[in-house]
Amino acid sequence: MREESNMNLLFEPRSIAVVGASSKPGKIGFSVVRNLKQGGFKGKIYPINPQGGEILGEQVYGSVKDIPGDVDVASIIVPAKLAFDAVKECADKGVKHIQIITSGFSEVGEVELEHKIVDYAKSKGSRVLGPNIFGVFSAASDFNSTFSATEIARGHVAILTQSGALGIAMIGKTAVNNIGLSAIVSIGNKADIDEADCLEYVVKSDLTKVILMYVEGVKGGERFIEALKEATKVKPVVVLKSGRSKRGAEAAASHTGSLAGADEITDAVLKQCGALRAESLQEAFNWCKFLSNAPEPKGSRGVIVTNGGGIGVMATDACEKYGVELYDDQAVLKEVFAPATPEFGSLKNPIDITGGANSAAYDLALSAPAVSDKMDSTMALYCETATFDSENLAPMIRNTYKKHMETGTPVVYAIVGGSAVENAIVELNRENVPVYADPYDAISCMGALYRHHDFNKTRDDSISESKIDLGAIEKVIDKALADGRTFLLANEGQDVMRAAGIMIPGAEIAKSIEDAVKHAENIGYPVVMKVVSRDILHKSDAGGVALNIENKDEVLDAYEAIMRNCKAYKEDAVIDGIEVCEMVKKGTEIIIGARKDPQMGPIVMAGMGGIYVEVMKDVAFRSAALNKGEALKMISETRSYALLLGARGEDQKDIDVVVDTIIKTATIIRKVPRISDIEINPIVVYEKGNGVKAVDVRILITK
Amino acid sequence: MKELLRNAIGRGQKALSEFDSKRLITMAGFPVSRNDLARTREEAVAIAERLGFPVVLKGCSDTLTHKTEMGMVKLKLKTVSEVAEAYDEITGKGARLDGVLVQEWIEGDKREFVVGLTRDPQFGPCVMFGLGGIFTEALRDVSFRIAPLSEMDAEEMIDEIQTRKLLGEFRGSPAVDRAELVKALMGIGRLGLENDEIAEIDINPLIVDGDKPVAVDALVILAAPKAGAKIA
Repeated sequence: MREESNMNLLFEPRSIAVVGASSKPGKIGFSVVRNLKQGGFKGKIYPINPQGGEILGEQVYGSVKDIPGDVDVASIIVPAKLAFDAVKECADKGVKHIQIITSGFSEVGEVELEHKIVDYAKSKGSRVLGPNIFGVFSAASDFNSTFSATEIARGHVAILTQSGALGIAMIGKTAVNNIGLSAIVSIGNKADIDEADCLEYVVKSDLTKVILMYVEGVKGGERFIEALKEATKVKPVVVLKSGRSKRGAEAAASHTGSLAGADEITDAVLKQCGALRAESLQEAFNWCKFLSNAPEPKGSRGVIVTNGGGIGVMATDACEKYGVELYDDQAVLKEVFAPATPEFGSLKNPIDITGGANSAAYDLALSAPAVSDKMDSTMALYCETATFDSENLAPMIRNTYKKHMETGTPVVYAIVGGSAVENAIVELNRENVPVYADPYDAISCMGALYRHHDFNKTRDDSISESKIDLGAIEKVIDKALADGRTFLLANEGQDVMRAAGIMIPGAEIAKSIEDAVKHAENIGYPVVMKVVSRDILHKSDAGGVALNIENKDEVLDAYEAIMRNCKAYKEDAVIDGIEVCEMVKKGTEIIIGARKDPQMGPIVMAGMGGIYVEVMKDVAFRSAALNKGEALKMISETRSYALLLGARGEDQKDIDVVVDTIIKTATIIRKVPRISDIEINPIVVYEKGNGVKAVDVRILITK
Repeated sequence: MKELLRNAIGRGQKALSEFDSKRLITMAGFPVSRNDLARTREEAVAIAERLGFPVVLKGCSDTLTHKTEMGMVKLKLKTVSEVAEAYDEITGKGARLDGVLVQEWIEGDKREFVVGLTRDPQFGPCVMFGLGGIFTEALRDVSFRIAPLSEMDAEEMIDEIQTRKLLGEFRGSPAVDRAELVKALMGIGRLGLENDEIAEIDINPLIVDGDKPVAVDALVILAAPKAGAKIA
């Protein structure tokens, strides 16, 4: 968190100057003043316009300079070419927050102007929101400085949106859906104030129970991740993230880059932070509304009550999809539900009270889980039947919902049928009763509630770090950069691995036949021997490679044969020596990678390795700020994790060392600013206790 | 074909040996690595010489499962003496064998697939295609179609697997002969449809020799004879 950013004043200012205010209805400069007044803002409003006069009863000032008192917020509405001067005046005046509604900056390539504005404002201690925004609304201070929405329904959801148009549309949609807002802020180009800053305020705001973020691109991933983690600890954060671009193409130099469709990384990081990622606007709205009213579930297992088998099965499928566990103690289910279920019904979860059930039967059945302390949540389903007294549908739901609320038991309803049912949905939604037309919608909400609370029950935001020799790594990079390279050579990559304590195959260069024997015995048989000569590029063609050497005699033979072959191949070749390398035994090949993602910052990746990497794309990602538990979770997400557990009767592989190696790689990418990409592929994993071998390492560096 | 199946069921077999499994799928037009069954050491050597070295030797019986784990598979044998030695080793393990299968060694490019036939209780015989070798169970990258397969069905199911890139040119190896693969999948579908005696077929791995798909191992599991039904 940035120090003393004091975001409070952006949302709860005591005064606002509207620079570019207008007395003409239809102008943005008019709308902002009107909305502030109509919204009931209690602070001072200072319209600024050189023409002077009055707007809606407020005295107009010629310049910000002329305002007698302090100004907390200024809203800039003048055209882009006049924006700098307007901001300068505000900053000179000491305005705390300057929101620039005007567009025509970095979003159309005017990057320099935007920088100039922000730099000036910051130099005077002012913060900048935008540009290219619709403004801020905050219920806490009846502060509606947007130019769009005259009326905003008050409630408990705070929206942070990068898109202006979508944000404005969402204000309307929240009203229709009866989702009240505690705040909405449009952050536009994020030239200064970003999601992390705004999160800081809404997390602390008591009015806000749920946060909804619409995000296109993230700048400064590490800060974003930190702020998001802090936020999800306190309240649910629903995220709509768009922009599934092929960013991989820009950095196809590494697998980590090309495997990471931008979206996989986003998805992984959001999950890692405990945020709830919604697929669609409707889903996001459903979750926000439900989460802002639902009690915290006491445990993880719910019960489905239905009057039809089909919809019960659908709901069961939905529970599996959204991760809602079902209560299955048969004895308890029988005891709790038998009084409400006819003989031919089902007392297995889903509880089928049959198509003959009327509202009284439902009332009985749905009161049971509300009062029972065994089941932790209820999913109530209803299919319209001829025998049901439909005029009692809404009252029955209202009544059983109330019972659930009284006992703090989360409940959702899915009801399917004709106009009577549809009318009940509309009516009950107005009262914030969670009723949906599809069991999937209902259970998606329940799943989101569980995901949020389950995450917090087990969350561990600690970051594991391993000791690495940073000095040694920096030295390797210095040398490579001095050579004019942006990548490390194989042996330099091995040096980095050694500095991080990652096991690599043993290798030494022998200058004599005695050396060769000594090295081979140190490394352990079998070994591989390869000629080292700058004059021989294709070692195999020259007869400069000997594989699978198993004892001293074979070393002696191989040494002489290689020397002889190479001399014959190229008479004047300078031979620096013969490299004696460990012959890497077969094992399970995985890949571990890391890179600095342009949006999310340092990330790590792990998954199936070897030649199949790009075909299988069986990899998982995380922010590199992770701990061992999260690293284990990451590899267990890949399908090929089964191979590490030991497929086909094989022993379990050394998963502990794989986790350690992930942490080591993550530490390198976080601690070494000049390393942009690391890829270890394959890294061969052996049976438990036998570790790993990083066979091939590629590292990219930057200045 | 029917005779092969009925005789095996008549003998109370639950499965066909690898040799018979391969004979059966060959009759259905499925490409299979060249092999023959040796009942003596001399036969093994003679077959190896006919096929050309190197060869693979495998113990062959309808009751043998986990051949590799039992040391019943000897790979890449290059000489007459290696073949003779391997023969003795396999037959010396004391397992009841039909003989020893001598099979050509195919220098594979590591691309391995799986083809299978299974009977769905609702939809009947279904053909499976997917990624083979050790990855089959771990990655479950497979697709299914109900028999009989049209050419379009086979084409579609090939393109449905995630690792379909392996079927194209891959690391210097040519693209797989798709027409051949389509024909093979359709053949397996017909085999399942026309022979209720077959419960399941498992062809794993199917490897790629040049551009030709070739089954190097196959297992046909037989249906349990229906109670009271008379097997002709």
